Amino acid sequence: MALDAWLAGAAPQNYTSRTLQSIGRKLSGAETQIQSADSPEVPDRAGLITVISRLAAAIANAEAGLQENNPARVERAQRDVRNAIAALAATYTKSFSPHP
Amino acid sequence: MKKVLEISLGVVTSVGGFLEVGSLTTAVQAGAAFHFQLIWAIVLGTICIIFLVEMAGRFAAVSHHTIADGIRERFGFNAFLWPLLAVLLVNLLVMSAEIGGVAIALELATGIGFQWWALLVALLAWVFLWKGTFGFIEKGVSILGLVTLCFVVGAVMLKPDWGQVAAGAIPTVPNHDAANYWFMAVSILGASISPYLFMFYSSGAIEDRWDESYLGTNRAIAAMGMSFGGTISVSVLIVAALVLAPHGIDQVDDYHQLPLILIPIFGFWGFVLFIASLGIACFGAVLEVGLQQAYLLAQGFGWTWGEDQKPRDNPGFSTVYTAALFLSALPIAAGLDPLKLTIFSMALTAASLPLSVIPFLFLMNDKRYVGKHRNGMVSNAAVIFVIALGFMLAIVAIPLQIFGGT
Repeated sequence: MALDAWLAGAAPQNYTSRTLQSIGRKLSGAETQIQSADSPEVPDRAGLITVISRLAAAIANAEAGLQENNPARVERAQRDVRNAIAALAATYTKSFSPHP
Repeated sequence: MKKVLEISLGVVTSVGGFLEVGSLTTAVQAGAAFHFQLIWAIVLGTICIIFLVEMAGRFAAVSHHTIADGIRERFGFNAFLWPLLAVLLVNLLVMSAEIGGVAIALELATGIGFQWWALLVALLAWVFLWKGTFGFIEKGVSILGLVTLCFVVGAVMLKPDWGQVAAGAIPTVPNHDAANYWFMAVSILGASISPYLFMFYSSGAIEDRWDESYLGTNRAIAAMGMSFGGTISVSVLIVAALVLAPHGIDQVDDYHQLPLILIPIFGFWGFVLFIASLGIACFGAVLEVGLQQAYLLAQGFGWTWGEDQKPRDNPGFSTVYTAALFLSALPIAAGLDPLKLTIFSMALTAASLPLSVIPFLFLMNDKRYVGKHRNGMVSNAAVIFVIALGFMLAIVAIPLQIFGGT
């Protein structure tokens, strides 16, 4: 949403950039947490870490596009963010849904 | 004509001063996570605060005492000490959260981190309190707070299903994330029924020299001002539900998410309006809570007090708000997340309500103070019910939220 708002000229760059940095920090924290947890509750831990890293990379790419004031790069990164979110949702469902 | 003007001004200041960081963030979180399902908590909180504000004004107008003054006189200083400590502590947390709200608004506007703004906000508030008069603080800042009406405009523009909105006013059991649901309900009640609101109102009535001729004015201001204020909170919840949820955002745990609720409605102006609403509303609350801390201690210890007097004429009073402002700014300056602090302080407010409200209810039923203007059954029952509900929910929901559970 923050990227949509920036691309539409409805949110300033510094706000959007700080929002992305904050999300980046949260993702990094989540990654560390999953890596350090050794409970059997996360069956596809490696898969989960991979998609979180992919999402973090896409967010970092979007932030770089913002710093360059390059809407085309931000738009590409936004597509990557959406794909990574979809992949994360799928992996999360697979990992945490109750097994019969 | 004079009374009509007074009522209008009173209603306008109540509306402008209603929204603050607690009611704003709890409504946004509730709307994002539970759609319209928690509207009932705002409605209950608003009903309760209407009764409490009306009682506070009636008590001051008839007895010429503030609430703190009355509790100390009626129950003695030792019994007064517990509500005093509880309200002082809760107010300190609330003031910290409000300073955090202004600091967040400044961060969003400038890109400079919120922690750098905390002490500056406290200093600016101190200058206002040191130099300003009660009328200036009560009316000036609250009238600026009318910018928060943008949430009502936004909610109407989003064309919600009003049937669903009305259904949200009836309490229901959540179908997911029960611990979070009840914790949110408690936080909303705490944000709506902050003790500083009605205690500040009673001190204001004394500052404005109300007498029994103001009882009708008081009733109108309490009912209309608080109802309109509650409408703004409900509007925030509606906007959050209709804007955030369709984008897959069902958790608002980062204050950067907050401005996003107005951008799809008003574009760039939505961003500006959000910052203005948050900044002005929270700054108004900082001034009110700061003054309330000073009122509370000055009235409790029998010092001279009054915002219209020069600071050198009431040194204790001005020392308290000075110390309270800078103490409250410290956690934010140290980098404590204002959003987390807000939600926690609102839940704690709900848990502490019986300590301040129960003695006040005794006063409102005491002939020696309010004579024939004692409380009726309805106002006693309504307030006891909501306070008991908030207290019980807080006792259950706060540990659940801290230690996890569903």
